[in-house]
Amino acid sequence: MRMHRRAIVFFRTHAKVLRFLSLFVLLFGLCYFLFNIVIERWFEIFRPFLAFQAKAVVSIVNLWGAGAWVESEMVNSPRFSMRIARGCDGIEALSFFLAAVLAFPASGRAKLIGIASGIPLIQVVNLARLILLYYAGVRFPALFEGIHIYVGQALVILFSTGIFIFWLERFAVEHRRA
Amino acid sequence: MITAKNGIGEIRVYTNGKSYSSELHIDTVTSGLPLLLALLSVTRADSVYAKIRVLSIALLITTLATMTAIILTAKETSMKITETVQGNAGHHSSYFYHAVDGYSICQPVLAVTIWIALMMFGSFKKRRDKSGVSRIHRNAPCPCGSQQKYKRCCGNT
Repeated sequence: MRMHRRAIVFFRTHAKVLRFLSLFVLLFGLCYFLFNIVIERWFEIFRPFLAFQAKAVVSIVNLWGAGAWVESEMVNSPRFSMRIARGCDGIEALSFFLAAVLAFPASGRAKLIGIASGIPLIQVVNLARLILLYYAGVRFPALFEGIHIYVGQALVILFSTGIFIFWLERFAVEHRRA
Repeated sequence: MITAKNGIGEIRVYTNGKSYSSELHIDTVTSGLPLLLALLSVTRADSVYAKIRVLSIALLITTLATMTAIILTAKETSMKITETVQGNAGHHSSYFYHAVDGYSICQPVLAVTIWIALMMFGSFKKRRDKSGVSRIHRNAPCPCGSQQKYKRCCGNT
């Protein structure tokens, strides 16, 4: 009986938080289903997008004389080659940011501003991650796999979290005037 | 036959004179754990007990999620084998594959979500005692703003 009462108190106290988290998980799952199953399997839009990202990486690293070239989603160079696969395209970070913005109780205008500014920012951060991975492969090939799995994706997600928190403070939350 | 070596679990089945196998690299379903532990470690907590509490909750959640991923992988393997033997390869087992693959890719998202959830639930703060008042040290400044010690002000009742 006591546990039952404590559970009721917990759910009442944290109703808004639970609502936000439930909506976030639902929206994130929906985005994953949309991007990874619907769009990827039925429309196959991702291959041109990955090829575009590979071209962007090559254009930037060649500014510093890397001598790299593109073959579809492959970034090739005399010293190192890497393939930009699904999971390295920033879609998970994008889904995370979209789900967080849409789940948070804010005005429609604030959400539109967040989505319109957050999506390009996250893609820029993802591009920086790909360039970092390229140079990690060139300079530290033995550490490439570890950096790829543990550092790369974590950095992009952390930056997305930072962009979300900035959006919260700047646009979503109304601060009371002192 | 199930074997595990160097962080790779392999399920191998022999049937009809053929061998079918599936591998699970344990680091693909635990790659978010270092990020989660780092985030929890750098976040300030009101007490050591609160810090231990959040670490325990986070480890429990990730353990349950990882065990679920391993069970789904085993289920996918058995379905794949059944479908291969029956000649309908990749029909239903692909749903479980997508679930496990999604879980592997979204490890950092899970880590950050757990961290944000724990912060929103106030898990880093001290627990209040049964009277609803958090414990204040007797020599600490009184929270009412009188600039006296708590033991000489509100704590003197």
